[in-house]
Amino acid sequence: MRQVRHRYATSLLVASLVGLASPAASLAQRVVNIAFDPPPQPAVPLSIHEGDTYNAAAVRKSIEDLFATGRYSDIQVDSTNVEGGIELRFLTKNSWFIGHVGVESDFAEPPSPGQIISSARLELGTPFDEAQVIAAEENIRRLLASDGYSDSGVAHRLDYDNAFQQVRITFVIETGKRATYQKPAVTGDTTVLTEKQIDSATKWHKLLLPGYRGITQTRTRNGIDRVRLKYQNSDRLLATVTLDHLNPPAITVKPGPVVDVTASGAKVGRKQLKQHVPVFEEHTVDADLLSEGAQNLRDYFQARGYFEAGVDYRRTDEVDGKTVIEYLISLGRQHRFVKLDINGNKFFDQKTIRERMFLTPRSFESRRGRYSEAFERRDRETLEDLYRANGFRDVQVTSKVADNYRGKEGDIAVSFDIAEGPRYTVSSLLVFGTEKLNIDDTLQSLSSQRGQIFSEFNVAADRETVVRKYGENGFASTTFEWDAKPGAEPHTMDLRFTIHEGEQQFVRQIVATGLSTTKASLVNQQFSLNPGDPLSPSAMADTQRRLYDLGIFAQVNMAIQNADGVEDRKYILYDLEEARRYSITGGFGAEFARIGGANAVTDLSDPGGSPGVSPRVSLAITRLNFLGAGQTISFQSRLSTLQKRAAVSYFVPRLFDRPKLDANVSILYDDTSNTGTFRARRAEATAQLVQRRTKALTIFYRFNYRDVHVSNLNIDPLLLPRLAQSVRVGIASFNFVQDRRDDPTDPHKGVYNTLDLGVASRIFGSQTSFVRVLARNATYHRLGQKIILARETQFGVQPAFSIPANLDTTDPIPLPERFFGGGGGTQRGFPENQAGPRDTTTGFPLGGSALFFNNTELRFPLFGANVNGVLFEDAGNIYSSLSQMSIRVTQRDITDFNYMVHAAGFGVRYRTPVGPLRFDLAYSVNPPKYNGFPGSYADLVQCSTTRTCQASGQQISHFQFFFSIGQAF
Amino acid sequence: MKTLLLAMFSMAIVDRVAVSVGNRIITESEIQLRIRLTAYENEETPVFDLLTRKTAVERLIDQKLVEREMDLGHYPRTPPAPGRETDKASLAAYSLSEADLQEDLARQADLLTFLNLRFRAGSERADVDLENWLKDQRRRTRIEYLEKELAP
Repeated sequence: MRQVRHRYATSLLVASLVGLASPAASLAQRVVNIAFDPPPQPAVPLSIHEGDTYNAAAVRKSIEDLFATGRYSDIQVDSTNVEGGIELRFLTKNSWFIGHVGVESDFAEPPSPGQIISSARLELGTPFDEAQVIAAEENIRRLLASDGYSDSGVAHRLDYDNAFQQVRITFVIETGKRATYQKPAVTGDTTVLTEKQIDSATKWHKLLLPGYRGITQTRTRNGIDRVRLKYQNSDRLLATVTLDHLNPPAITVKPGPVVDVTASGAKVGRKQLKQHVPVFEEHTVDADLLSEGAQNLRDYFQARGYFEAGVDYRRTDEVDGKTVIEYLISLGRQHRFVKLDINGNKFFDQKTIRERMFLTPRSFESRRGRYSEAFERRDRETLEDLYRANGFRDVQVTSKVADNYRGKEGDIAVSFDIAEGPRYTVSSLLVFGTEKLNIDDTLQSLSSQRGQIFSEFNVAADRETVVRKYGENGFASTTFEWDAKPGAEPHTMDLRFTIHEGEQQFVRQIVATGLSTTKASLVNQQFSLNPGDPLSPSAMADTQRRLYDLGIFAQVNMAIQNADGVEDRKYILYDLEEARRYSITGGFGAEFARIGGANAVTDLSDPGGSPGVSPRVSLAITRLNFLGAGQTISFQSRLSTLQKRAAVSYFVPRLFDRPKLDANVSILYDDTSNTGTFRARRAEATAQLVQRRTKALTIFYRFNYRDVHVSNLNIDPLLLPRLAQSVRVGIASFNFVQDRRDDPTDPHKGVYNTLDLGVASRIFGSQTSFVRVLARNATYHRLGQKIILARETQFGVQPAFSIPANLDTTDPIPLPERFFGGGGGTQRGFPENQAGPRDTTTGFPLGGSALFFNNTELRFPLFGANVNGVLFEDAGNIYSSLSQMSIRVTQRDITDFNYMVHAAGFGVRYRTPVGPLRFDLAYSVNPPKYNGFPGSYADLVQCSTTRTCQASGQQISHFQFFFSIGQAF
Repeated sequence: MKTLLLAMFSMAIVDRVAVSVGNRIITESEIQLRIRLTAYENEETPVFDLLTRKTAVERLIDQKLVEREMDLGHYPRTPPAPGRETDKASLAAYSLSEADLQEDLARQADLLTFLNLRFRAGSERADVDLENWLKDQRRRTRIEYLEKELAP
């Protein structure tokens, strides 16, 4: 007993030394009051309550639960004796979290603010620690130095936001002038490349000017890579080029031995070796890379019919600075894989099976087929996996190879025998652990229902469905376990799903930071979540997508603040980086084609067009996020010898807060003479609503009002009074666009339909009345894996109504409102806008009131992955009117233009990031003949008055060529 | 003024965070409890000097890391339950309650479960694997000694 007392006394003494109240001292004391300092109540319930008897474990648990919320960095509990017991006071110190990270700087990029922020490695919403900011400053300094801003001043400013417990971090950067490269000091072996050659290879020196360029990370990396490439081109594959110091640059080079990669036993070009042997790309020689090279070469030969090809390699030691790597190839016989049989398949059809297989018998695309033992083995496994995933757990797939098939040497045939076996079904499904969320509907939709197929694939899909359902309802840590055992009936399985739901989390508040000019209300409208909603990651991502879709943010960072904290209500953070508001783009180029009547001002002798160049310059200025409302105002202009155009447009996205409705208002001035027949000066105002009904379907509701002045008409002077009139047109139209193409710039499959319906009427202030219908249907089909059949049909008609008495009822549509066509996008048998009716005196095109074009293209690979070929056939024309439309292929006489022109040709497409570069050469089978006038317009006027004009018979050239960007359709 | 002075003199710290291990903590009272439990099990006099407290803290850190892993992995847990006969008087001498002892026994059972399921306790490598795992977890986890003197 004495000993016990002694121990007790000791513990009391030590407890007092560490500053804690004695456990015994508080025993049996009643907790009268619990207070918090600072006052806000915690988000979690405490384990100790007012009225309880003091309990150290309960206090400890309360501290643990409070700390686990992540909202506090330190907690202490004091007790004070008060009347009737004790008062407990929780003294808390807030945690802080990383909020907006910004940059204040005034130097030229690079690095961009985004790069600087990224280098800081401060993650939005994570706990804030000032030591991280110090490390971030150092990272930023390093980044700046690598971009030529050494000795930069990097400081930071912290703004504490008590409301959301987050810290806004702003890096304030001061730099001097960007340093420039100097002649690099080269150390190491300079016998292979001299210092001068290395200096030149870096391209750090200004081109044709004295001095060196400014230091940037990209230039540095590219410079070093270019030196390395130069060594590689000298067969120094192991050369190392190291940048020891950037400013001033110091480079160490080790050329290493000459590595001679050769092949014996079969002819392999240098290009193939470089393509298949990875030592060229990796700048190192090791057993793995050499083996990979052997494997690649084996695949290369097997793809060429040498199915038994074997490839090994031999590496000699370095002698006199040279290492030889020799690939030893034994080709064996060249085969053709002529037949693939699949037997025993009942559940899957041949097509379903074959599209999953590597083995391919010979075809138009693959002359010798594709076969190897490895592929055969892989296909067996693939088929077994396919069947197992669909409930055939006992499936067995075997294969047999027949050489010299049907007595033909080198021909092989492969047959796969599939023993499907029984299909397993689910005899029962038990689901445990669904307590907090009702997922009955989800369970009904699972693939592994009773009586359904049992497969691990289905269970995996069910797992995905269940976890996603929980995730959408704020259960971020839901886990799903399953097990199965054989059921009572044969080929059945009893399934059991066990769900650990975890804790449900809700949205406490959504916090957007980083806004300087954008209105907060615009951002708030995009939120898919509201306070109190279950915290759904998909809804969060949806908000992020909506914010990006506004087009005014360069970056939208999204995070859950204090993600690891155990609290059920979370702040959702969106840190926004506003995009630059002004963008200016300029461009210049030239149209090089057979341009119709380019020389017509002085000479009418060539109305069908002649090869010409039309240079052009363009300028566009865009102001994003106008007035902070997410709207865009832009100015576009273009100046060329054929066209002068200036337009101002105002774009309002999400009109009336409807995410699928946009509006656009624009005014335009256009001065065009690209038909050669006339010059049209057009002043136009347009109001347009764009409604995105579905992902594929968009409807445009548009009203245009334009005033068009026509001049410089190259037509019979007698027609001038009728056709030279200026006209005002008010037209209301609907345009339906259905786009199901896989890639709009270079489609491989899908459908593209448009329908344009418009009415120009006096009701809209129009001086002329007509209806416009223009329909287009294009489809794209794959023939095999690489060949695409593309076709397009266009039909248009614009009948006039309410024709004024003074106008010719057969041809009442004003000249600039008529259909003009022909050229690279419609009918390649004509130069641009040269199809259809023509003036019988001068031969210049007059346009028409109806059109029909049908284009068919066969697109196929030509050279490598980037160059494709096209065979095409275009048919169609512009017609005077719908009643004159014809599929006749012969021209009745020199004044007949209402017949169908056919053209066929060949084209080349070179793939670029902005779409394929296009060159087409067309041969027109039946180009129109017409009368032209040999002389100037003054000559024409003179001879018209005396009726002495001499016509010259002309014809549109059989050959046409086109050069542009983008597919024809 | 009299009330304020009275309050100041009657105020005492009953508990506080000593070390944080990720989003879990070790409180000062937990360290003392650990020392008392160890002393009780070894039938020794509890010593609360800095070295003993540091040793207890390191043990508790390992315990927290194991508990976190068991929670994340849904390992089966042992609920505290009456076990062997205990002398209440001797427990009281160590300022321990029966609940303290039962919880400690449950913790030990949990540790054994974890060792068995994760590292096949009893195998030759189990100890080494556990040690390596703990080292790795410590490296990955933010451990902050709010009571600076307890830092190793």
